[in-house]
Amino acid sequence: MAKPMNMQPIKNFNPMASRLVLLCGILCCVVFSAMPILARDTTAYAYITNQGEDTVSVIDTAKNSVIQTIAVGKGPVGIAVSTALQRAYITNVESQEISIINTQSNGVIQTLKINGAPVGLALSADSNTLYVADWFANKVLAINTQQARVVRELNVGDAPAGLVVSPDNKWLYIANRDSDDIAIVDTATLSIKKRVKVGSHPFGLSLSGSGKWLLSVNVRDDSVSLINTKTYSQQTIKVGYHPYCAAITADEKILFVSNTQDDSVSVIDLATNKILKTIAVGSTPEGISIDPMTQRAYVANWGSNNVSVIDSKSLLVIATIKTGEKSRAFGQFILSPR
Amino acid sequence: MKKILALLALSLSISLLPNLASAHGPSPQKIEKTVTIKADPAKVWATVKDFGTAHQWLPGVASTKLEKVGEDTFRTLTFKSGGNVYEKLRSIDNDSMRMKYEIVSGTLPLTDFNGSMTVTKGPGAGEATVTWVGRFYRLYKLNPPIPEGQDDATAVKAITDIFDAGLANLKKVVEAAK
Repeated sequence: MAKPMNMQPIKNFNPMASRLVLLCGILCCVVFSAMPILARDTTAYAYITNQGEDTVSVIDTAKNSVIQTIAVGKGPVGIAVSTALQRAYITNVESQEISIINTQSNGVIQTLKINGAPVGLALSADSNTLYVADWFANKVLAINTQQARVVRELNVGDAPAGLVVSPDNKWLYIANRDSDDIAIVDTATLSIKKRVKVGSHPFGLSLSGSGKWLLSVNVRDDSVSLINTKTYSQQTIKVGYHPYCAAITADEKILFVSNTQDDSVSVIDLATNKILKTIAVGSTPEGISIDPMTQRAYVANWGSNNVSVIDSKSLLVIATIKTGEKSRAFGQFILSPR
Repeated sequence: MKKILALLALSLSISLLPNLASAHGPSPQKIEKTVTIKADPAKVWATVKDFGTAHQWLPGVASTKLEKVGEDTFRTLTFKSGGNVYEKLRSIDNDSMRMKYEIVSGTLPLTDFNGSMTVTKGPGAGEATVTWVGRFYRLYKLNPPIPEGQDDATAVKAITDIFDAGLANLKKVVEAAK
């Protein structure tokens, strides 16, 4: 966008020139509204994996309705999205493959066979690398997104699940569910720098926008570990029964945690680490992500086959969107418009 | 030689066990079944929430043994066909007429089972609807090939059979008790 020069007071008012400006304005409106890509410029889209029907539901967050359902492989779980590449990556754990979706056409453009059980996945900050956790082989694969092939592998702890990459692209964090720790991996060398003990069975991971706070959701301890990524000091906050996933608002003030066996979301004030509210959502909530445009939390409910939308100011459920059978959406599943 | 091989196989399988003790398969299974009962919902709820008397309506169950451990309530269901299941009562909510429970251990071919039974009013006057939901994983915890009897289909069938027979008989028992 050019700088708005005409915001200055006009000294020598010229009626002809003002008419030209108006005409240009009208033309621009006509031309731009005819370009569908621009309609996406302010709207984020949520990509929800539906394990029970082998599909992905695409939610228009402005309308809070499903605009498309995409057939993928068997047992889709994990999701990672890239605005830069206009891609969504889906792990199909039962058919042992990754579906690559073009988010402009919302069609599957490629399927990558993975010799293992792909569950969690995350993209590097520059979208060049897709990390995939192999739940059974205790490995994390690094896939070059341009070539769409595995370029490196790393042996990690037992049952690696949630993955997240730091905004500066230097660190990959891996939740090793059955080792009860987080592996901190140097992305340049793909080697483990440190392993940090957390609560029992860490599954979902979330990182604050600045990268300062890492959240590990500990299923068996009914807790989250809030880890300072500079000092590795941590605090434990008790949440509901069998929590799975977490998400932090852009201002880093509020944390949402899905409690699968309580059908609820815990809302935590990060200034005090106290629970502000426990919100009833659909049945067996799993994946949770925040719409960067509205700061609303989207929660995929595995048990009730829908998505609950929570306003992060009022802390009320403002919409419930029917998706597909057994919605999971494990990972950061909202595609930002920019 | 055979003996040695058998011993070797046994020790191998045992050495693998500790790693698998806490893991489960990657895809949870879900069974949801409902039944309409011609009875007052409050009466149906009274039967559903009574954790220690499941054998009175759940076919195939010979006995229910109720136990209190501190604040927690457990039951052991012993099956007529042999085998048993040890369950923990998670919650009883009288307002929403929902009880939640989970399987701690037992002989059913599945793992990590969490369930709930909910009673709602209707659809007709003087009727109640019972919804029974279970979430669980298959027994086998590793990649395919999956051994027979430890796959998703086996786990799903075990729960489906219990839910179907259970709800049909719950209806019969409650309606007959009028």
